[in-house]
Amino acid sequence: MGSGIKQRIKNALADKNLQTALGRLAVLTKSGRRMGMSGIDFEALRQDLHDRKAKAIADLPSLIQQFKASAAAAGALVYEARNADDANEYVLRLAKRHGVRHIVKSKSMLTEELGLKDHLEHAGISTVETDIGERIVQLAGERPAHIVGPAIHKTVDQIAELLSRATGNEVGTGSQELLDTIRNSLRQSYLDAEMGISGANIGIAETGTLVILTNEGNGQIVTTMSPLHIAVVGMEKLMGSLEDANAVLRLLSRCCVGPRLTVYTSFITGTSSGGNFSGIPLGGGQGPRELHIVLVDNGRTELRNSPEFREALYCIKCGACLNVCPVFGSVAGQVYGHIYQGGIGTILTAFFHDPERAHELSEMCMGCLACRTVCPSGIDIPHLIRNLKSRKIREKGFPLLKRVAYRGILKSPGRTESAARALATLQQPFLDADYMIRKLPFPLGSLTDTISLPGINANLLAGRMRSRFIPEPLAKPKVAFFAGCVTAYAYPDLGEAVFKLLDAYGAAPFYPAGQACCGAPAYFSGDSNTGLTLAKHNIESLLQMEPDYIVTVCPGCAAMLKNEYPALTAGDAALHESALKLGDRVRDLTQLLIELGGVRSMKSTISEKVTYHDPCHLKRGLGVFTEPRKLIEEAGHELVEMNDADACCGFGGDALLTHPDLCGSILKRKLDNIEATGVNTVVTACTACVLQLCGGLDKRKSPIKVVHIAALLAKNLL
Amino acid sequence: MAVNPENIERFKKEAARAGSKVFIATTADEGVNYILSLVKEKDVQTVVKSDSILAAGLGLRKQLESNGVRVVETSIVQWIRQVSGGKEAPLDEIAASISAATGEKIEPDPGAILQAARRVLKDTYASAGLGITQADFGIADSGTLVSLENEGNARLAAALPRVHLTLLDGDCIVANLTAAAERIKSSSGGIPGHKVPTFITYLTGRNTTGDIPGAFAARAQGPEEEHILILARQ
Repeated sequence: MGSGIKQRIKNALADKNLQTALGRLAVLTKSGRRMGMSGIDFEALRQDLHDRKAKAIADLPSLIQQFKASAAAAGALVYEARNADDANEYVLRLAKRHGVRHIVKSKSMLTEELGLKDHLEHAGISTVETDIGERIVQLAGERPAHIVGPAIHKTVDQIAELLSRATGNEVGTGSQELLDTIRNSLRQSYLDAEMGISGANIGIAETGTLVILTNEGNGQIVTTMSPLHIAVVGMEKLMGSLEDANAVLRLLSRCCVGPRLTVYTSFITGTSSGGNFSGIPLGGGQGPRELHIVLVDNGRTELRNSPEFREALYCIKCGACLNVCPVFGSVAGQVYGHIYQGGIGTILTAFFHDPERAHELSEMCMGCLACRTVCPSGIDIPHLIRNLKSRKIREKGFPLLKRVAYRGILKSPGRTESAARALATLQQPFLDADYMIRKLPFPLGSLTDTISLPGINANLLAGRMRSRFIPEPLAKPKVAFFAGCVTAYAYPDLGEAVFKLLDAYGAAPFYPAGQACCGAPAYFSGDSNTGLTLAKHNIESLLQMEPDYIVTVCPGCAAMLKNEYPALTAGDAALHESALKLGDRVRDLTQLLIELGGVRSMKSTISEKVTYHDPCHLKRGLGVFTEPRKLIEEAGHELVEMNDADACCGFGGDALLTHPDLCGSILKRKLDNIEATGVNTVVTACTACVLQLCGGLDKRKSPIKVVHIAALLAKNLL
Repeated sequence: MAVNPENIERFKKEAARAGSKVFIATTADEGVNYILSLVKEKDVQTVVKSDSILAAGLGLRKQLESNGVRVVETSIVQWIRQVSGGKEAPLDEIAASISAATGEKIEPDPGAILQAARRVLKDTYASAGLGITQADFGIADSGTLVSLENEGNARLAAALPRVHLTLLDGDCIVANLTAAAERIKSSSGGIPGHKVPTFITYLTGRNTTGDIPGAFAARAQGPEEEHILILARQ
């Protein structure tokens, strides 16, 4: 299976049609997002939706009872299905009982999850997908490639060929002709169908109502014209009231593709009625005679009962997280190999399908936090993925390589330093004159496929900082410098630049002795145990001298210290309090320089045009993005913004080892955007980003320099 | 409901943004003329329409028919009345009229009449050039039309014809989704057991799909144009 996903990624990256379509779609989803977010208070609306979803999931058992009663009173028949087999059999039995031979179906992720269409087709019942993209994918015998455009990977020529084969007539390749052909063929399917199958986006317990959102119009027809309507609904879709449903409506379409609402928002309550004629009841209206609602569990109760993962049930399936996911943007949906895609799909796959498959998917995550930033239900997807990795370690143990790296080496600062010294010697045969490693031998060769690596600097930072272990006893802010591994071992000069800057800004910087790795690599690989050990160690080391601030030049470290230590230490009240205290004092260097009074006098002679790359954890983890720009400009440089400045660079932590080609594809987009600015220098504020961008530009033999903002500012100091 | 010109303007702007064509008529003549010229421009032979007080007020059916357009009523009660020549009649006479109109033998039984009506109407929706329905109210901040019904004919008349036109009373526009929910809750379902009507449709703009390369936001499976005629008495 491991090679399976690697192969699928390789195929997707090599698929020219797919890559072109993804490029087009990226532009559309970006403008859609801008449109969707305009004129609303997104944070307030998503807090509201989060709270309502949290309440609905907490109250789920009683909501199910209430929904069943209301829907039944309105004439619907509700069936609770435990799992896929149960749901599929129920629908098949219904179809057989009514002699159904033709079914039309609107888009539903749940029916894909259940494999309902295959189940019906195996029983000889024709089941036609009516969403245009889904229909194309169905004719091709494939899975949807993208949540917004299921068939984006198909060219007009390929679609024309599929339609020619399906209709037996030659179909031209004009968009209009393709659309007309599909529409007309579907119109016939609607007339023939004895059963319509839909999903539902929301179930309203108070009124027994289903809410179904579509843009094409097929949903209206599928749910009205056939004599039978079967709605297959995940039990997590239930909410209390119409106002709860509004919270979903306010965000779903805006987050998905941008418009305020989907074109058709359809509320269906029970069965239709045509009233009376001359006092005689007609006994029904023009809608289906029977409405069956299949409420599906299929792993949802288990997910609800797992506190570490429960919030995945708040998902409203808008696809916003996929639209911004750099991995999804590189390979699209077919790579995931099952129904649910991207980060949230990884969690859903674990509970609704196959935990093994989910673990495989979790290794693709770059940890860039983009999904969390846009989720309308406020789901912390990166955290759920981390929890999944952690659960795997609990259940299956830790792979040898990671055990050695995290528990054997990084967990202890002494051993990390010894390892760095050993590597500084071992690397010699591979080190080029400029201190870069461009080709490593097997089995490490993949590490240098997409980027060149910086050599370990034998003159380690800790040694250089010996004279600055203790802050000067002055009436200045005491600032502890937390170096982080990349600075300590690869870029120790940067540490010296930070001290020069802090001195110039009137602070009293010092280098707390014995500081260790922040623990992020281990923690986000799921190793909470190593994370906690390092948290304890660093909390003690960093707070020992009672600093006013703790400053970093690696936002990955800063976000770990500030955002994760408090949660990690929750089990120990005293330690937790220290973690909170630490968190309050943690600053990114750019934040602190602004707090310390902005720009110091700079030489104005060496101003140049630069572009700036937003590190994921600085912008989305710490909310810092204006400070670095301000510092760059006030230092006299001209800032030329690149396209997608805040898109991930593809460093991706773990993923760099597992899926270097995926990281390479994300890196490529970043480097293309950097080169498109035409400047000679790219500035960033994260050591890991520096490593990745430097390594990538070096592989391209590009003359563009990568400079950490600390080095840029220090160089310009008077 | 109080007239709120701001709501009309906001509604118009948002509906247009979503892809609808909005026309505000201040007199009945303006309204009728808009529809007659639409019918002409789109070469419409058959109009399907659902019950509408606004259409009745405009005398729309007569106006269309005198311009050579066939108008089919889509609520079953109105359809029966239309087929049986507008008069109340006993079941066997109705069945006879329907038999004559459809060329099939229909038994004088409510179930059989219902099925016959459904069969005939199903074909008529899709072949009609224009569907005319009335929205119960509009939502200003998304340009949305809200239609409440128990029968299902309005949503079919809105989805299946080549062009769709919605009549909207300019006085019936609420501000936002919250106000819409309030309004829906206060309108009882009208059928025993229903707390809300069977079908509520929020229609926003014109149907689209992005599924065909090179045709982003193309017409999908509904009408090729969505027209909204707002009747705003001065």
